[in-house]
Amino acid sequence: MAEVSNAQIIAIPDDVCRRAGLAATWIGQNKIGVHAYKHINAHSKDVPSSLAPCEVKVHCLRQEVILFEPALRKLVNESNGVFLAIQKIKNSTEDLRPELLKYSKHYRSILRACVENLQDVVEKSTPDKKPTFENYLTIFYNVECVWHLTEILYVNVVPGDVILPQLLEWVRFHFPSRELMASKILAKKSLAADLDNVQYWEAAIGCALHGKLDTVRSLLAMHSKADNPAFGTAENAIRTMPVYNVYGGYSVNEFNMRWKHWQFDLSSQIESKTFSTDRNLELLMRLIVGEELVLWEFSKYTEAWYELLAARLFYSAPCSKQPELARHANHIAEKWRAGRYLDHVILALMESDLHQVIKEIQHMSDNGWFAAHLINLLYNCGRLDIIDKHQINVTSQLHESLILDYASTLMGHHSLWQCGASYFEHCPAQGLTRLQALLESIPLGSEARVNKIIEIARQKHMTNVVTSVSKIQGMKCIRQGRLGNALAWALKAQDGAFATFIADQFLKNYAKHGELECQDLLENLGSCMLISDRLTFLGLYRKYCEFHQTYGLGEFKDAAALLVSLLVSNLTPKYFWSILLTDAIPLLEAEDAVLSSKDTFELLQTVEEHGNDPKFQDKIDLFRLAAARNLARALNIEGCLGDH
Amino acid sequence: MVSVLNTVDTGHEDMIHDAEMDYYGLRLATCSSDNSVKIFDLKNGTQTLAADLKGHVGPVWQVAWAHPKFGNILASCSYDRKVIIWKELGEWTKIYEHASHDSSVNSVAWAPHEFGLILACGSSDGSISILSNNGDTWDAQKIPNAHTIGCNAVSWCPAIEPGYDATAPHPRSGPVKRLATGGCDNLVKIWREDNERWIEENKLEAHSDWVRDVAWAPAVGPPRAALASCSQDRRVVVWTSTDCTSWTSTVLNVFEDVIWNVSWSLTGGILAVSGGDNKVSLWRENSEGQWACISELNKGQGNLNNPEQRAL
Repeated sequence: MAEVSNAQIIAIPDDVCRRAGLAATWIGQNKIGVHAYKHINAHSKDVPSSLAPCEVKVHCLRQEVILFEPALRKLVNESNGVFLAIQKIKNSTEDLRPELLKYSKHYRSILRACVENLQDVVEKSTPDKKPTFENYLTIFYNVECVWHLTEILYVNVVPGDVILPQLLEWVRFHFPSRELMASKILAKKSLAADLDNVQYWEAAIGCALHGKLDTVRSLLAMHSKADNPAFGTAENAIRTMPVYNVYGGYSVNEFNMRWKHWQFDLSSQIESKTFSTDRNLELLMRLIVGEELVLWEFSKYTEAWYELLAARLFYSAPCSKQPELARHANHIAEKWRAGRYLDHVILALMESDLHQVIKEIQHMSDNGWFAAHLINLLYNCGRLDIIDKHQINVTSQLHESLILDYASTLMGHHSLWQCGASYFEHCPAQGLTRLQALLESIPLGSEARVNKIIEIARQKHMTNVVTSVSKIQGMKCIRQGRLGNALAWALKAQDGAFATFIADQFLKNYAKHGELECQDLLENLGSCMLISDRLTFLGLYRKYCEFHQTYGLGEFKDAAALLVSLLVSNLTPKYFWSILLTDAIPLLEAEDAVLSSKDTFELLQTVEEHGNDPKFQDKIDLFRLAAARNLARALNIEGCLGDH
Repeated sequence: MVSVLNTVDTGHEDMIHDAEMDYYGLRLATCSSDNSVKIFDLKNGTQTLAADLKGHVGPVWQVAWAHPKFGNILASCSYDRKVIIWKELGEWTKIYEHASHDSSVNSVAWAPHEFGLILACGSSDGSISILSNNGDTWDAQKIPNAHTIGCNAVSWCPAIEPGYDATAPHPRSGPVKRLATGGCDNLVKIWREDNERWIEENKLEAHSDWVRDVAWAPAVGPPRAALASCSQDRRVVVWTSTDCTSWTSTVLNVFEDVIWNVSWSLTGGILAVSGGDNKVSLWRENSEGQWACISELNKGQGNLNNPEQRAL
């Protein structure tokens, strides 16, 4: 398999490993732990191993992610914005092409900014970091170049499909050196530019190869022999050369006729030695008339085969459409012996082999940024149709897997994870489950981060994550003795069992110290307390304490009613009975009767059931006495009321 | 590109048998033939020894971290036939000792946290025990004679939504507890809890020698379960199933040496394979369902001047 031969081997020196063998375990998303390992088992002798004593080490390895570099942060964040914007428009029924073209250009401007930023960084960086940044620069320059061509060939489809004008633009944009050279020469306004500038002809021919005919004419006008009729004829021939333009008013056929006619005239002028006064001029005119031999001679003035390809199309096949492009590209690339990595990608693009393009760009070392965003754009343009070797269409699987990979990589970063999380939603098959696994594994850290994690999990209805994260936070609070915060987390998690556990802690602390903590929080529980019986009990008991503390008679009555309702509610935990019953004694003995005979019966019944708590033994007689007195008093009053 | 993030010098006196990071990758636990378990805090590339746990009287084979929602809990198993559960309560303390096995305990694994605090242990006495925490007590259940001669590895099935699980008795009863084990009978077995009892659900035969490790892949994406097993027969097998009843096996590769460990990445995409040949290789399934090696880590033969990477 091709993949196997590409596999990278990384070596780490560790003598114990060499002698023993090793074991590896994944740590989270992109790390691996490795240590020396030799298997022994119950049947081996229980003695120190042959390697002891030895230095035992565990190595943690991490996949290097260049996107985590601060200089690339902007690229990651801004492209995320464009990606999300594209997902929004894709449900509209209108023709998306113009919109997508706009977004493609937006991506490119982000890339351009990134490349320019990297250029700055390279200049400012220290010698030891310089090669790294130069490497990044190459990577993103290549990405930009390929993206631009992809946009021309697949996103921005012009009427008539003639690709030459855009192809020339692309070549000019990426190889500006000779045009710069020409403009420097022109700026000097010399009358014998060829004599003053050694690079005069290189500039002129470079511009001709890029189809910059106006610049070529301006240069010719500055030649020391510009007055010679040969130059005049040349200038005229170049000026009258028909250049195809979709909006030029001619059909392709008409254009071809005119062009052929012009070409015929020029070639007869060349044959009649019109330009023989100057060898360079003659060569230039032979290039313009479309002579293949001359074209290859001038390849010395180009940096890449696709520059030559553009020139060849310009002078020999100006109306080529995409299928013909593949043929021409193949021919030139082969003859050029193009073998650089970028050459393969560009050739595959021109041959419309998008599957190959996607495969190649995954090796760009940009951690999948390019592959994910480009495939998404092409996918939305409807330009992808990838068939595997079993003739099954795997386009959407491939699309999803590239986006998943990219997003998962971002999830490994302490601040980019939020950006990464936004991609999963657009992966229908695996997105949410993957996001869930990754969200759960983000180290929780600050409260702000925890809240962000919970917010995302809530949006995506991952109650599991909300519960487990809140539980972890709650446990942490309990360890730190912050019961109130722990309770807040339990409520956030809607975790009844956990709330019960915490309410128990509150009540037990009260039983021990006679004081309820976090009154504020408990006071504002509202309906939240219904999540657990124990918490409800706690909430009601707090209210009772509040009544009890205020001495007015009215409150005393309310307190009594609440206490009775707590006693009969079946919510009371076992360890709390003695406290509740003790609380009842002063109410029974209150100056005015606040407990009715019915209430007192209830109290007597509960003391029968629950009064056997050892902590209550010293008070049980007191309780019974108080209850008996109150019963007598209450019956008396109630009897009197009944008389009326 | 892979770089060495940090190297922890464990200070153990003899070989370590297991090294496990906690849930968030911030703490490392190691266990060794020197009978000890150590816990390290890793922060910004530095390590501090947080605890040196002494409680076993034989080599410690494996350690396992419980989900952080239960607090900081670690389980360890040893040649001394014991499983110890440790908890950080201010200091690391032994909170439970499980000593019902008749031979060395080779493997421990915590159940998915959704099920509660539950630990599975595989032993050379051939049985598997399952410890469940009920507040202050631990209940033990046992599967006797699970693997003849011994059980080498245990791994829990992730908590799959019952909607995906054809064998779930009631669609609304919550996820099913499932366990994969590998043993000296060359088998991988799958166990399912059914009415509080553990039953053998499947017996997977593909290995011709002792099975050394089993690893259930994290459940992501379409309803498909995947399981990797490795054996002394030098084979790594990936098992897949769409209903957890019928399983298909794919031999990932036949390696040059015995494979001791298999480990899935967090989202299940990549399998790390390591063993006696001193290599770690990473495997990934492509869109056509074939497994390809995507990278190989090779230790011990590196050149000190160029320790980081060497492209083939």
